[in-house]
Amino acid sequence: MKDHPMNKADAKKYTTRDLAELGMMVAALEAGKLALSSLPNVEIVTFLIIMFAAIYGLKSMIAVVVFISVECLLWPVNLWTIMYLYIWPLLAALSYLFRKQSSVWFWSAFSALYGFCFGGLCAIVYIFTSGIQTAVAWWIAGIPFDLIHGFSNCVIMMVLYRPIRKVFKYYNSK
Amino acid sequence: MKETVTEETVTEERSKAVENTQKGGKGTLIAVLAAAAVVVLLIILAVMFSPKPQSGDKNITVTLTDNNGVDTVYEHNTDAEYLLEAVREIEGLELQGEEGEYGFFITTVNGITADYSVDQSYWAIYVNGEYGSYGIESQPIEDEGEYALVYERSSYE
Repeated sequence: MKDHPMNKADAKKYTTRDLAELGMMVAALEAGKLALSSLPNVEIVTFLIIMFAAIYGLKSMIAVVVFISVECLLWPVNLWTIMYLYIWPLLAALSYLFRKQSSVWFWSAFSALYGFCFGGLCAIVYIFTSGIQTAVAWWIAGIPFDLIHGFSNCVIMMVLYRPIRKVFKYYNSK
Repeated sequence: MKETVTEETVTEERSKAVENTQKGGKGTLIAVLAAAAVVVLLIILAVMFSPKPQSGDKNITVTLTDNNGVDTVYEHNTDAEYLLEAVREIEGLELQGEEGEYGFFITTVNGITADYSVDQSYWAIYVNGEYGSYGIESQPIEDEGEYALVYERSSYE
């Protein structure tokens, strides 16, 4: 068991510290989601996933997967569970791709863009469940909410990017 | 030896920072422009494709499907432009609800209350047989339109 190649690779890759960080990331995502759940179209999950992916790298993808799993356990499995399965990993992957960017304006515009496209990305599921017409109608009906979502994402990023990045960078470099 | 490492690290970090700022400049411009373009596009789409209310006389059918799956059909003639207004005019159809974050939210129809937090039940709106995309308050009605208020429960138990 000890010599199993998987064990060796895992032992090299993930330390206790990594596991603790993952736990903190998932806790922050869950708590952040719950704390703002009463405000429609305002959420901090996008902000957190962007920051985790841009600073902690691919490790954040595991946090996103665990977050989605916890969501599945906490809430009734529904259509939006399927949306979560690709929306948050896609966000983490894109943020990781742009990790070299360090401008608050870039990330504010990026998170705004993700909010604006959120409804469109969610609507993909409806293409398969109810057909393209329903998907488009659903998307169009939700555009006002996508706009609020994008603008609120932008404001959250503008306010929190610099201080949070500083803290994350400080602990990540230790 | 220690000093050399520090200097090297500092120089390396500085060049990285310069590189990042340069990349940030171009990337930022693209991201900002893309966000602005998407806003404009979304507003145009919303204005062009949102269903518009029809003025004047309209004949509509409203079907109520209760918690036992029993249908009651109401034929109604109205000048109302939105479904909520029209449904409120119908005799024998008693609607209660509350103003929620997304507009009027139906809680009770003819004494039957749907409460998602209790048993994942809710009142669904169907428009011409399709699941509605709008709240009852912002669903425009059209002549010969078929609308349905259906007591539904989420498949998850």
